[in-house]
Amino acid sequence: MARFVVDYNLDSIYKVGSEVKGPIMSVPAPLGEFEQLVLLSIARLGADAYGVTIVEELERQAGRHVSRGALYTTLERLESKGLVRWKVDAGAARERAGLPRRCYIVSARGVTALRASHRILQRMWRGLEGLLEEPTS
Amino acid sequence: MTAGAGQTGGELPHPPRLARWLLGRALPPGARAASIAGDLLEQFHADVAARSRVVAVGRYWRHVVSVGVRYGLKRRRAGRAVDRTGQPVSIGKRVSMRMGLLRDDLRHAFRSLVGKPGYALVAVLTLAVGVGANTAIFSLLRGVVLNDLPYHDTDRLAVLWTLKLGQNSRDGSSYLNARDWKAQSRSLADIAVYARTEVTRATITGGGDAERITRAMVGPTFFQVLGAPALLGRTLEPADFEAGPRPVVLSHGLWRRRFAADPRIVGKTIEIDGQALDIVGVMAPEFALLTPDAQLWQPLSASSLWARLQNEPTRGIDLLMVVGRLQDGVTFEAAKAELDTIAARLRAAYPRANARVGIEIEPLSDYVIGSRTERSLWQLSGAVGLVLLIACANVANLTLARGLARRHEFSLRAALGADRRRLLGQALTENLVVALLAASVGLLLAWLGARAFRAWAAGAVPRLENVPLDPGVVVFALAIAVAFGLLAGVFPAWQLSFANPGEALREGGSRAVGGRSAQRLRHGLVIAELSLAVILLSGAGLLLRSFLRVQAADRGFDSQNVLLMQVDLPDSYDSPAGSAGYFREALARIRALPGIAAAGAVSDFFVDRRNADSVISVEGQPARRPDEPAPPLLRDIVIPGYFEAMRIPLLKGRLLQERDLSPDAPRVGVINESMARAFWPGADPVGRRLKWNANPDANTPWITVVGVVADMRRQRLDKAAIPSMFQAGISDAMDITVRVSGDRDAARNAIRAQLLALEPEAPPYGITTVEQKLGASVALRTLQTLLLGALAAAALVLGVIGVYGIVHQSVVARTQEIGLRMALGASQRTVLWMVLSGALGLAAAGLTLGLIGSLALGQTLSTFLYETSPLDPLVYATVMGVLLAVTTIACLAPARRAARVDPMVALRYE
Repeated sequence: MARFVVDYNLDSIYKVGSEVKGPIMSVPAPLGEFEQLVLLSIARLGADAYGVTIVEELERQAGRHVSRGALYTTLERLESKGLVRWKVDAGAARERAGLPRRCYIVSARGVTALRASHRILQRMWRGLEGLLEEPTS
Repeated sequence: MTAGAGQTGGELPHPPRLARWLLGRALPPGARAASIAGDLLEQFHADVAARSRVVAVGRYWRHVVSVGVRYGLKRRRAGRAVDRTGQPVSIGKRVSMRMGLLRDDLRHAFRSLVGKPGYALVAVLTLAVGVGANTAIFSLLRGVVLNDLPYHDTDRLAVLWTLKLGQNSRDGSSYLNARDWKAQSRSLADIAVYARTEVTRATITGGGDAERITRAMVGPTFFQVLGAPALLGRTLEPADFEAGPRPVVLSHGLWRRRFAADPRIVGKTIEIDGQALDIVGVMAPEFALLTPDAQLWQPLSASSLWARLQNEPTRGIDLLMVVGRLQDGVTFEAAKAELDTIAARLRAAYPRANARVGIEIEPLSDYVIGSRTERSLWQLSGAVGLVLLIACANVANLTLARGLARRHEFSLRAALGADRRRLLGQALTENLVVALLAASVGLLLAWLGARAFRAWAAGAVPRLENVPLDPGVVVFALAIAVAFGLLAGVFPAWQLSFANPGEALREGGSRAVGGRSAQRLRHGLVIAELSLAVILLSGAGLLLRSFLRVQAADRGFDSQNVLLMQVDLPDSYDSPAGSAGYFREALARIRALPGIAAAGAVSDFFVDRRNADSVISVEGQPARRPDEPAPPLLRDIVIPGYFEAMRIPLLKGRLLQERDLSPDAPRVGVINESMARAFWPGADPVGRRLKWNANPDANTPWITVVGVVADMRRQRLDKAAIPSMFQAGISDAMDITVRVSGDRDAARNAIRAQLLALEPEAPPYGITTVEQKLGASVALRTLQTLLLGALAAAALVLGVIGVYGIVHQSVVARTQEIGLRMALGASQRTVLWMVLSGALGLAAAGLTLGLIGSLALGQTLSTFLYETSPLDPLVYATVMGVLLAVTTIACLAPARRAARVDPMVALRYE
């Protein structure tokens, strides 16, 4: 009955069907590109990472225009994989008309995943350093 | 939480309500939803601050849509994560597939609509007329009736009236009575008074032209009871009623007109009747609703009336208007019951002033908007609703007919593998396109319509200035266009979606007539259209008949070419001799001008019916018993020349003459026909004597009746004349009436110049023609008749187009059958009659249903009818005749075509 299928961003392995829903925690998950960017933004922003600032950071650093829908669904997924954690910042109630602000931080597991992705990139780049040089002619 | 109360200056803007609501719907409720909403709100505020509100709103919408799409699809995916092949379908791909299908459908819809522009044009225009009319009326209804009045918590505000039990009329109140109402009532939280504006006119002097204005003199709690803040500065406060400074609050209009909207006006002064007043505030434009003519508000204590009002003798003189605010939780019924007991108590306590006096309480909104206006707007919205239904039925009919012709195309698509949902979706997409086009054309029509209405009805309908074409109205237009566009398309699309793949392969067959159920539906639709049209036609007919009756009503005088202007003399003329000197000289100068046929003056030409509360004692007649109702009765002071200027026919005796003006002349009066009928029925009143507002034994002189003149309809064309008596005299405020034989504008300017030269402090004001003023009195009726007439005409045209369509189609479809009949010996006349009788059958069915409907609905119109019964047989007969005639004419062409069928050609057909 249960089938293993790959989520649309090749992010994690889900069991779909009646028994298990959600990530299987023991399987290490390779990060998708967008997930990686979101995690990095959160890490860069430190204590001040929430919806509005994450979008700004992505735009500033990666030059990427991000739809809110994509951002929030990705944050939800990262959370369910245990890569980020959040807490409510009570300081910003007025300009939000009393609505809570969720500030995200990268969890230990998230840091491990980022390191793994970085290592993969480093391995892949090994020997290709020449490509990084600007052409000089 | 309501806006208006306790709003602080730093309030942050809100994103559009609809978008916020959608966001709430898109997200599963919980803490996450709240934090996302918070993020978007914060971004919105940042965008408002950094860019503009428009940009921020646009971005907010975009974010909401993106969140909605992602989460919506995510939710669906939770249900079925894999597609038919067992592979999961990515969200992005799903979106693009779906968009692709929609794009295909839209492209196809456009292509097929452009391919048959006739259908598209007729459908779009038909629907647009319905949508436009409804949108226009909706925006009016919202601006005039549904939107809150410009005061705080208006549902609890009321106008309190003195009810004259004997004369069945109502009036304002005296200060002392109002004070007692307030002291004794528990259901009223507070009440406020203001002087009836016609008694508190004033002249702006100093700086620029002298200008006659209407002002409101208000009691200490006026602004507090209404609960509206000032636009600039402050409103009047109880402390302003002490002696000392002289504060004044300006109206928005005066501030803009006379002070060029000076933002630093507060603290400056304005000179009124030669007295400098301190400007303490300016009100917003909509605040004037209760006192529409008032140019400024002043404490009542600034008037000489104030001291007199506090004295007992003025208890019976109703110079004030009273507004009250109900306590929370008290209903109007409860307040009414309590006021009745208070009235009884006051009758007992002050038997002289309060004999036969009650108290009436009326919701403020009824008073300022008027129940007639409100009712006529609701009625119009019912009428435009019917037109929309007819338009919808018509489009449905068109779409059905078109669907029949497209069966082939759809069965081909079915044969090529389109499933039902695709076919249904595609057929509906076309209707959606039609609906959206209709919405945009309809909005344009609504905008034009509302603008025309505003220009036309200004004065007849209050609050017209707050009728904008705002987003709410646009949403309304879109919503009804889409709803009715789809409603019109649902059944045809549903039928088409059953397209049989096999049919594509078979050629011919019953291609055009379609199934029996479709045909029955089309007939049903046409019958419904016709019956709705009949309802509208008979309503319009009844109104038109009333309108014609009003127009034809005998005015009792010649209202053409009469100029009317008001002159109020300043205090320096405060003696009978002074006023007489001025008006004699003024009239002499006017009569000397070229192009003037006659001139006179009357105390108040358009005198309010509320003032008709006089009583008389007639010599030789027994006194009226206290419980006997007294007829309304008016007295006018006129300067001879008035009857000649108005051309009021003299029926008996003589008119008033110059010599009657002299102080030692015998007291004489001229009465009108109604008064003669009321007091001397069947007898000749000339030579009889009466005492005005006095007992026969009172020490007032007898007045002898010397003449009888015709009744005049001078307040409203649709109201009969009030019994009244004219006496010669001159007061310090009169309406000058001038019959002009030459150019009216030249005469107006010349008279104005003459009067200003005579007395610069008394500028003539309210200059108008009598005809204009009387026309305005029936403006609402005119408008209502015209609008309902136009709607009924539109309905008739739409209905008849429906009949024509059916008959035409059936003739085309039955060509073969008709040919066969003719080959077998049927005459042209038989065929003609066969076709016509089908159409007339539909018309008769529609007529029957429609007449039943209009007889049922006729009663709702009865308050607007004038000397016309809601069952007026002439109206219904005319409607019947018109409908049958128009149907016949519309069907003649297809019927003739049927009669000309050549049997040979028909048999070879196919």
